[in-house]
Amino acid sequence: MSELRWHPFLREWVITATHRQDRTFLPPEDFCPLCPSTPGGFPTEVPRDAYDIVVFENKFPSLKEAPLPPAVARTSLCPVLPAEGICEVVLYSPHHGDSLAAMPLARIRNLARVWRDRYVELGANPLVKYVFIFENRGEAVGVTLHHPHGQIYAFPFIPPIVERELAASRDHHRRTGRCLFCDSLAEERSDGRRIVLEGERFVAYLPFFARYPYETYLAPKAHLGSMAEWSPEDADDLAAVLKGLLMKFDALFAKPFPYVMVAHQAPTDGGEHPDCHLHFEFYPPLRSANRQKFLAGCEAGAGTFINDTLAEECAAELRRVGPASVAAVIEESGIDPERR
Amino acid sequence: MAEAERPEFVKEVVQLPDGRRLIYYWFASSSPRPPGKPEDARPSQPGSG
Repeated sequence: MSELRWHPFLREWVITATHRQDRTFLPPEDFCPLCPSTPGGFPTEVPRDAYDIVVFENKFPSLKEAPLPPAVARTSLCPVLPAEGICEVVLYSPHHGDSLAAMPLARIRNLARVWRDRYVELGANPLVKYVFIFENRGEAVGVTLHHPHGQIYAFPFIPPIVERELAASRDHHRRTGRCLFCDSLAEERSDGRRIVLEGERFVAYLPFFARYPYETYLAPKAHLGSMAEWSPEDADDLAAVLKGLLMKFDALFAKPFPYVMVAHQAPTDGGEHPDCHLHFEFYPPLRSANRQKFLAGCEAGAGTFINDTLAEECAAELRRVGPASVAAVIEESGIDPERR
Repeated sequence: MAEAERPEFVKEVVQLPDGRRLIYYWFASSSPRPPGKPEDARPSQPGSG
């Protein structure tokens, strides 16, 4: 059963998707459904015995392009809609043990091209108002399959956090004539204390208002509304800064660092969104090597985050570990900067 | 370097037995395979989400 139920108090949609209870949960590596199929082996999600990067429609989707009618009737206060949309899985690599931090720069750059292609193609579908690209990494954030992959939800509406962000950006633009994100980024670069890694075109930093310990933003310095505006050079620099940041994350506690990574960019609802500034946000669930940050009473019930750390100190910790610069990331990858 | 000078990816769309769409993206570092190989018709094990 799957449908959209309206939450009249928060004024947002809730997706019910009861079929997802049956999805595969942490299978042994030999039975990973995201690895290539091998001759004589069990058939995985990918029929071929080799692949580069693969995208497929999720077998257990929260949203479907042609969903069944809702199984429940609306109430006087709570409209119900079919769970219309598209859910895709993006396989970053055929290698089960791979991770974004460990991949060659060229593969990450190729992944950026795939993200861009999915944003453009899904966004051209009239039913899709927002293309939401994300990755959950690690069991601490609920991962059920360890094979390196991300997901895409093509929503029939603009999701509420993005909508709040856009509303603030519109207000700021109306008052000042400038992009809120550009202004915030200028403040961060001028201050410098929360910058983690800076490339030619992209920069990674902990925002002044970080809610999670080690919460990090990764954004283009120039005003880009969406991945559709990326140049090849942007994708190159994104790959290097992204890889460097994730290497730092993994070096921080000397173990794979769990995170939720999301991309915020312009909606595909047919409207003009000049105030929207593409960026990635990372929400790590750890507040120290062995202690998790939970969304407990104050966060889950009041919507107010309590951060037990200072963004300035967390940024300094991240600067001290892993690659010292983007140049070091490129050098370590053994790629000529002109050809990476 | 201009976009047109760079090797583009090859995008190969196949339909899985249950009707879902699967897209292979092949880049210059790998050899694109011919579409419609027989094993594409096999049903798969439960997968991701």
